Amino acid sequence: MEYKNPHIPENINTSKEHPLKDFSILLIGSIVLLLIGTVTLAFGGGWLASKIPFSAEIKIANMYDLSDDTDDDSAPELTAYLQSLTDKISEAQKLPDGMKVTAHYLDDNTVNAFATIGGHIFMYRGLLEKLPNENTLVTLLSHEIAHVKYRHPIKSLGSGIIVSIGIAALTGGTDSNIMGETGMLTVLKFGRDMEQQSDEAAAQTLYALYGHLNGGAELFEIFHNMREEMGAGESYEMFSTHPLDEDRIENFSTIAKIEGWEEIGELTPLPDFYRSALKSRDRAHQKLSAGTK
Amino acid sequence: MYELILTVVLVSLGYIFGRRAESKHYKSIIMREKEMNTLPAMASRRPPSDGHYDQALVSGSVVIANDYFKSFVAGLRNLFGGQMRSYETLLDRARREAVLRMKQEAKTLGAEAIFNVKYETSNISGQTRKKMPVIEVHAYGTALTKYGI
Amino acid sequence: MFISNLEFMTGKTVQQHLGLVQGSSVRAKHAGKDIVAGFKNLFGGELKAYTELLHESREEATERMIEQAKAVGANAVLNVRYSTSSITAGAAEIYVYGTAVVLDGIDD
Repeated sequence: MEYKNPHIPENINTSKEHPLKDFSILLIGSIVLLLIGTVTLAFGGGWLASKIPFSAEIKIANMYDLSDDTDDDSAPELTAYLQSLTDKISEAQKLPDGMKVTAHYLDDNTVNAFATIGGHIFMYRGLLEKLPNENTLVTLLSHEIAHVKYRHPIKSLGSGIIVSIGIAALTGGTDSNIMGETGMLTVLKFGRDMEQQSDEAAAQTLYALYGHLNGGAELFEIFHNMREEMGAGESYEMFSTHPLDEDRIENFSTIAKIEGWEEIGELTPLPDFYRSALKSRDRAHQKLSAGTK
Repeated sequence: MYELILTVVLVSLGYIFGRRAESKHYKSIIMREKEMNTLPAMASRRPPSDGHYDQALVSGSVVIANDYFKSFVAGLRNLFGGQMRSYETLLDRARREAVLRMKQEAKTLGAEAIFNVKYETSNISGQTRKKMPVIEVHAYGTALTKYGI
Repeated sequence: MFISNLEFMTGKTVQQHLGLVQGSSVRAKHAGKDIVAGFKNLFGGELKAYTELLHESREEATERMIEQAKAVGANAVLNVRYSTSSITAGAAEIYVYGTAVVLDGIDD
């Protein structure tokens, strides 16, 4: 009998494959899986949230004490004007029973406006200052009210919460702060389809109230100019949830053509107190903040 | 974001150093295996019936840990299932190293062959997901030395 | 390739002992099956997914051992032993080893 110990060739019990190949396949696979999972969760969360009755949404909104923090009651005339327009638009958009939209005025330079849960819409002074006439203001308000009408804020919040629960479950993180962030309510992201839906509703409302669409597209021009000023251009379209401003302007005139609505017509001026309310408020605010410093 | 950067850094460090250590280890294993070729190790329990031998229990063990890159790949692999290639080399190295250490011990005894070799593999890191696997391989057998030399 | 966990093959003589040959395989089931298995833990019963997993692993490990044995010129592996070890949660290694031998009077 003979005892030998010949050398066994390598790579029988180990694979010849480069480890980075396995790694990249797995990494791409998990990213795809993660994306699919996130989209599914976001969609499911949005769908579930849209089943929440509006009355419950108001209760959720009250949990955050939205109005206490933000309300600016030093421009009562302006707030009342915004509210009266809001009520008029709400009627024109035929909001469901029990859905009440509250307009808020925020004394800040930000050129923006947003809608959040509980039927609250917020207008920044920065944007209000740039509006040339009532028709444009109504377009803006209609757009935000349409968000409320179509339940976009609660859908977006629902998606956000479900996705963050999913991520927390996956990473094993114990993020107990899922519902606790008030900041989240002001940066709710609406999808492009939501923005488009609201734009269309805004066009309809504008026509219903004034009989023509003049002044509507100017709202998007304001955003467009602002972005050009900031130098951001439109190159970030991929990352932005809002459709391109130019597309929105075009979209507006497309609606006009399809429906046969006039794009020209008499513009309604803003009331006399509008500018002065914004201006005086501005100065008073500056004095106030200077005083407190 | 901070965590992501940390993970990327750890994975790339794990890859660079782990790969370097692995190829170094393999070189040394292959070299020593050639040296030890004269001392065969067998799983058989029956020693040759001719002649008389001195018997001695010899063993070699090694504890080896995975690098971060391999653990990361294994974690992803756990999601999809299938062959865990990143562990293959780890275990292969550990087993061959354990046998080499056992043979080294037998050689100092002047043994001719090792019979009834058995392996014992144990995970000594605990079962929690977060812990990196630490694996011990223990190889043992009976070394036979020619009687009366 | 003749594989046995006996020391010998009846009626044949061992011509050459060629030392240890081994095969190993580490496998994991995908996360979905892990979750199903987690539920099964509640009620007991066979974890089919894992039975399958270990079976596949064992076949692969045996294949690899045979490949090694062929590479050193053996025609049989005797005294074969299997061992199973858990590497991480959800992944198991199957290890098989034996003595590669050349038996008299066997082709292949």
